Amino acid sequence: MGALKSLAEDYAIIDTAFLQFCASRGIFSVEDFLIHDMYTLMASTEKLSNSDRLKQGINQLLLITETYHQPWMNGLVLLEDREQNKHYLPTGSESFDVLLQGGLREGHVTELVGPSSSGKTQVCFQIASNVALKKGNVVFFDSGNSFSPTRIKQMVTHISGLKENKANEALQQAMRNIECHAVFDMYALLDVLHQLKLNLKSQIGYEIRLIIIDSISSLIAPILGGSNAQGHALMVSVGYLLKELADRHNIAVVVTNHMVGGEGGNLKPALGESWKNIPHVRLQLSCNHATNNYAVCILRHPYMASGKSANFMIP
Amino acid sequence: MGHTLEFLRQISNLPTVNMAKGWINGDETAKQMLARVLKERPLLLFPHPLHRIPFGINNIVEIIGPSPSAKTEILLQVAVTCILPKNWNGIQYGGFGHSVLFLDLDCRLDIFRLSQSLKQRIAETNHNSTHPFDMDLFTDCMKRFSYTRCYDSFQFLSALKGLHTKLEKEGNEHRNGVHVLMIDGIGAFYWIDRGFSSLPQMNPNRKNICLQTVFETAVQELKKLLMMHSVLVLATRTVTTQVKGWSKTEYREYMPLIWQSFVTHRILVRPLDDKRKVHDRVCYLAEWLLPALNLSDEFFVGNAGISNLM
Repeated sequence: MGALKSLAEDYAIIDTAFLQFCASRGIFSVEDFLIHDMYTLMASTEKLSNSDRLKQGINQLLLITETYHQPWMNGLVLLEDREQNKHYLPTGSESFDVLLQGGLREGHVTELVGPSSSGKTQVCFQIASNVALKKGNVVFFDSGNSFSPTRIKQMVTHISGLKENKANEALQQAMRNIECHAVFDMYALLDVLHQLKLNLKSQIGYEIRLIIIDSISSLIAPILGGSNAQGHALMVSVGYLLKELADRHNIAVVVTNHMVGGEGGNLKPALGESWKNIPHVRLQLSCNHATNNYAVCILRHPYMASGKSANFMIP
Repeated sequence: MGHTLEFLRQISNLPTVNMAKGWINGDETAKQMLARVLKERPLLLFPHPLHRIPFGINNIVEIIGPSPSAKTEILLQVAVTCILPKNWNGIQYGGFGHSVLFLDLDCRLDIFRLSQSLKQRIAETNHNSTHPFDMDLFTDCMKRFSYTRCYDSFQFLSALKGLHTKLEKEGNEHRNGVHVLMIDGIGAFYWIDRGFSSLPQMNPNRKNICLQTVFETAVQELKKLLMMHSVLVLATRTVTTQVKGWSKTEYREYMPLIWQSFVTHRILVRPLDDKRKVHDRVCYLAEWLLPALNLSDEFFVGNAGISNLM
């Protein structure tokens, strides 16, 4: 979308006279056009000498805006797309995968919530290692300088089941498959995500299987608060950008959300009510430090019952 | 008296009076009319928890509740009832055979859930028969479900503006012209649109792009759509609480007045206060706010769909 002027090149009917007519009604961009009523606009051409041509222009603009939303698909086509293009990505932990009927779903945004040291980052490392070793490209956004190549190396070696000297080639490939971005604010994150979107669209053969943002809450929480709507607007924007990338390019997205003290000393996720609506899947992690056992519990899922949980270990 | 009769005799020869007489005589009986109206403008009885009120064409039903409160699930179960035919190969499925248009503003629908529920409903109905699973029926139903997703308000508006053309095209294919338009997450872009309103327009003529103008246009487009097609609108909206706890009045209303007054029916769904569980499933409460019914229903979501709690 954008300025109407930019459409003049491609469409002869959108000429100076038409642009002038639009400008006189305060319409300068396609967005302006969309918040106007077509019938009123059509009617307002009546008294003008070039009414027919203006009407053609309006119809042309309508046709152009038709392409701005995703095309309608029937349920069958949608189901086919899901079955062919959106697979489960195994997490590398068997009981975790059993709980999720196969792992993380491509096309979904999955959120991991949990208090500090509940295993969020470790789970991210493990999923990244497993996908990089077995499936393909992983993009890892690290907001807290916690990304550890040594730890990833250790995990990949463990998952591959090979002795360290033999695992070398697989290890190198897996390490090459992980692209890590250190991001320390929301704008840096949006910047890289927009770049990714562009690359995925323009570079043929460039594929990403998994995007991890650890943690998204530490990037969003600082810009929220007060009566300021901009922080919330950015939060929702990044949410929709992730959903779009996930669906269009069949990527599984994982974001982590830390927990803070709420009322009565109960812990609650740092990103609260307005964020809740964004992810498809919400999983809560916890850790029993005495036994080094981790637990994961489904808080929301598009087609699985919430409340189910599983225990797992991290190597 | 004599004058009046003479007068009546005279004017009864006039053509306009004959027309008037014809009009008074009527051209259908009340029974015929009822049959016609119910066919053209059927009353639809939706499954739980919307079962208390029958809906008609032109109704705008809003399902509000915190996230998560099974709002999308309610839409999907209604969708299954709508796309299933009344009967098929001599078996009663009790559906409506209507088309469903699903405008996903939350962008969270997993089509698997719809296909799972539909398959289950077909299998349940076929329970006693010896027929294997009817794939043709499944295909036929899934084709009646149309889906698109929008990543911002402009995509939403462009989808709405294109709906008339889409329905006209479909009207030629299907004889049965009732459409159920579902909008999942009508308030999804609230924060983004609110953010826009602070942008300077530099031109007094130019409409400000903000929540208000987006909904003015959306409501206008929907009103035009309702005039030209037989459409029933079902929308969901996430609400948050201002005060701790939930009751009918404690949710935060953030939609522009133009949308609020456009809605004809409103139901609130939310998890039960006592966090009760049945068969390990979270239980929810549904209360009608518009019309304000003094009844509430408790329900839970199982694999097969929504079940009422007694």
